[in-house]
Amino acid sequence: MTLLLSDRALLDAFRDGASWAITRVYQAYVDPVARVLRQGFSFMSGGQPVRFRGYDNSWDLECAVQDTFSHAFSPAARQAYDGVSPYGPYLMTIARNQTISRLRRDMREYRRRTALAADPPPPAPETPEQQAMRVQAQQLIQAFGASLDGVQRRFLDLRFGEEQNLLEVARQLGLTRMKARTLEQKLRQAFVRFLRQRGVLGDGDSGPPLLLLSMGLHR
Amino acid sequence: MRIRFHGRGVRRLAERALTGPVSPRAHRRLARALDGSESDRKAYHQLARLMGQLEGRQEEDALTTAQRERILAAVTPRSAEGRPAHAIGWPLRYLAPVAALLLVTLLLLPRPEGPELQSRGSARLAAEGHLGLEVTCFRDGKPVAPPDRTSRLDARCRLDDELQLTLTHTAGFEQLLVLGLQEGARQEGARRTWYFPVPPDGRSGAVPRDVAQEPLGQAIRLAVNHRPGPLRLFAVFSHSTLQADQLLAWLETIPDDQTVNGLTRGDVTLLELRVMIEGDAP
Repeated sequence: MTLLLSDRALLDAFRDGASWAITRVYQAYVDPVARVLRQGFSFMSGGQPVRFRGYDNSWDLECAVQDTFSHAFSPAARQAYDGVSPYGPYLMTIARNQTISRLRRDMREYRRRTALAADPPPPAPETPEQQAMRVQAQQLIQAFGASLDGVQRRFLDLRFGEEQNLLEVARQLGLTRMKARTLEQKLRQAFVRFLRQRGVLGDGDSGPPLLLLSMGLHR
Repeated sequence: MRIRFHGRGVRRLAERALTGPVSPRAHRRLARALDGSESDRKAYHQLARLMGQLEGRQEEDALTTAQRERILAAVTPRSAEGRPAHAIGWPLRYLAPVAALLLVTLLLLPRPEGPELQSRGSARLAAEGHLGLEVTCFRDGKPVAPPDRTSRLDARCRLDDELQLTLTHTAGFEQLLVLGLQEGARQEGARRTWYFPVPPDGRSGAVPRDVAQEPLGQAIRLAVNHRPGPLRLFAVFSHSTLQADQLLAWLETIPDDQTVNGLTRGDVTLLELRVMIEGDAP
């Protein structure tokens, strides 16, 4: 990816800290950075090859991605980028260094300490439990979709099924961008309510168990 | 599948974080809760995965839309740290560059007779949240490129373009009033245009909270209520209802050539945007 190499105006604006330029760079690189941090990488520690197995949950991943971009978008790091080499490797180096620093800092914490291993990670096919959860999730999403009205369902299809941008979805549905944006947020909130109502989501141990049969999700 | 958080508080915070923007304060609370609880982290992960699947993201390493947007808001430099004049709102990210923004930090008390202006150094916004307003002109449905960075303008539009405001607000204000004045408009009978709240009633309205670069109201066509020439947009954030007359009385005391972006009195903060409207007068 040569985003900043091929567009000098973008590079200048990025170095100046222009939010539009930072937004473009972020959108171009957030997925690769998240992938590296999720899948892990190898590095040398104390003369020994070590592998970081990757963050195994969304919260740690979210924090690590934010740490990476916070550092990468700091004025010093923006100015330090030479504008000659591709930005991707520069950013990935920051991601790796931030992660290694964080892991070393948190070595006492079991969860993160065990993320380090001397051997390469074993292949990680989906477990039967994960497969079952994926199926249940798909059934939940189908049930949620069935509970929506026509416009809401069409919105979901266009926005997430066909991966169209918000403006295009708004245009096709005859909505303003703001209304489309509001609808998107309301759909997420409705999904959360849906999960709560069916006992999938709750707090404490007193909540009702998930009864997939009662939801008609198991045949 | 059961997703269980330890308490209602952390569950609600997690729900908010995965469905829309949250304030930095709420996010810090969520972070404290999740960092201290393995099971809450697991529950957050499960909920995030479900939200991701709802959005059609099958990969484990895919962040949800809400996560991406929250991170972007957190890592984008704030105005007080040198935010540039030009910006693209991420709701508009598939369009093109957007006009500039003038951010703020000063405080002002709603005392009509007390125009003591404080320095930006006394601002509390930088610590408490993020506040910003951007303006974009759309022509034939497409955004008009913002003026050169060296310009003092935030947008350059033509008559008949559509003008869209974009708001970022995680600073905890309750009320907002957005008013447009054209050159010399402070004098009696001059042209004033209301942008928020709509419909106008002479005072401020409830401001959307915990939003990041979201459109504020609908786009306004630069037609009958606008003329060619400079347009100054004033956005006043406050914790209590503010009468338009209070704003106008205060603006009367400020020379036309002085930008008021960032001026403040007490608990009121003012943002200013400058737009040039081009075209032939009707």
